[in-house]
Amino acid sequence: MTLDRDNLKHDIAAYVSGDDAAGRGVCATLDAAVRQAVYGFLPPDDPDRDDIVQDTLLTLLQYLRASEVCPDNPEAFAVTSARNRCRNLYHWRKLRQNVDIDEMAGRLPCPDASPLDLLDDRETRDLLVEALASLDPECHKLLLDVYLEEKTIESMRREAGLTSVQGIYHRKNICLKKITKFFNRRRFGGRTTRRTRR
Amino acid sequence: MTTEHPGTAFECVDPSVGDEIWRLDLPAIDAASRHVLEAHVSVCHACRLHRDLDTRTGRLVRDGELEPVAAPPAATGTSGVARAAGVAAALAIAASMVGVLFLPPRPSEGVMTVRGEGEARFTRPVEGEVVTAGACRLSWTEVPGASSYEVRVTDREGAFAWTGTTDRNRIDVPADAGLAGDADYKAVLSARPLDLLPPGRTSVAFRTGTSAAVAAHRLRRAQPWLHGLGLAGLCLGVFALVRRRD
Repeated sequence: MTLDRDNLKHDIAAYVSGDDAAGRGVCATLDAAVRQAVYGFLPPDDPDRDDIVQDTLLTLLQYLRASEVCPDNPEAFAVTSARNRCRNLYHWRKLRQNVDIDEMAGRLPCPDASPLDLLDDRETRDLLVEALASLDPECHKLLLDVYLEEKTIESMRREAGLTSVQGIYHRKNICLKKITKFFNRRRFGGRTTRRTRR
Repeated sequence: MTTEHPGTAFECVDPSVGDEIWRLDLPAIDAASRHVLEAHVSVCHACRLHRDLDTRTGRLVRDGELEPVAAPPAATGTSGVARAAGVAAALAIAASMVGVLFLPPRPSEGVMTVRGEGEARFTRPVEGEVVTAGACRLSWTEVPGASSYEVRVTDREGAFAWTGTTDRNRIDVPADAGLAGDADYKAVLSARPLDLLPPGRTSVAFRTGTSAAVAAHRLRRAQPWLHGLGLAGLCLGVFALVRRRD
């Protein structure tokens, strides 16, 4: 099934402008792609498949209203969001596979949670120690300087010979991406993506 | 239909916006941009993880819970030594393996160390060497004044005999000569004119075997310096591994 992208963008623009009925058109257009993504991740007997499809589409609508902008590629946005929810659910279950099911009742499961919320404080701390130690000396120093606030961003800018403090924040972001990558690899990306035709 | 393992890394739902979320740190970011970026973070698991890690790392560092560990050493420090040791280890092991494969093994203890000494002697195979069954090459030191040589190969029981002549100091025993596997043989060299070598004086005993037996023999009887080189390579390899872990 091919998407009518022009119609989708038109519906999104209308929804952002306040037309609630256009939201149904957005969901109807993206439903098949999102469903296919979720069904590709979760087995047919998984009880959460349809909930994740619904949550993904609702979250997309909330995002459109909150941001008031249309994503460059709404289909990729929705599909990636659905896949992330499946990953979150997978990790949530995996980390609690030895917990009594009765104990989990009432707080089950939360695909909308932050991935970091899945880990306990101790594990997060230990991984952060490892992640920091794995950084190159420049990143390591920059992050500690920023977090400990013993130096102002302005003095760091002067030391680095930059013309604007934006450069320091940008560099910090690059270093943080390395930490995020470390977490993804060590905790969330243990398996590589695998596709099989059925 | 496709199936995909969900244990894969989180992805940004809209990278063109996700690449800009660092601007949320800027004190002077305009309200509209902040609004869009915050909305993106709220819906994107990958970016939320990124931001949460930022917040969590900062809090732990400031609270002193995350000890500011010493900056990792530069590549020229510990890791440089480890890398150099690793390279040296690989070279040493490779050199020793090449030596084991291509240099003649030590002869077995015994008579051949003196047999033919000063007159002529077989250079390959050496005494007691294991060679592959089938074709094999015999070589010896030149005898001054010899116009040709005759080599006679016999087995221990005398059931097998092959004779070849050549005017050079080596000869190939052809595959159709019928050297059997896992058998002991003796090669005897004579020169023309006959009086240049005492009869039966220059000889070598060798054995045929499988490729594995040949390799095992060469490894066992390799020159001592090759064993030393290989051992040094292994020690360096262990050292490199330990330094790398540290």
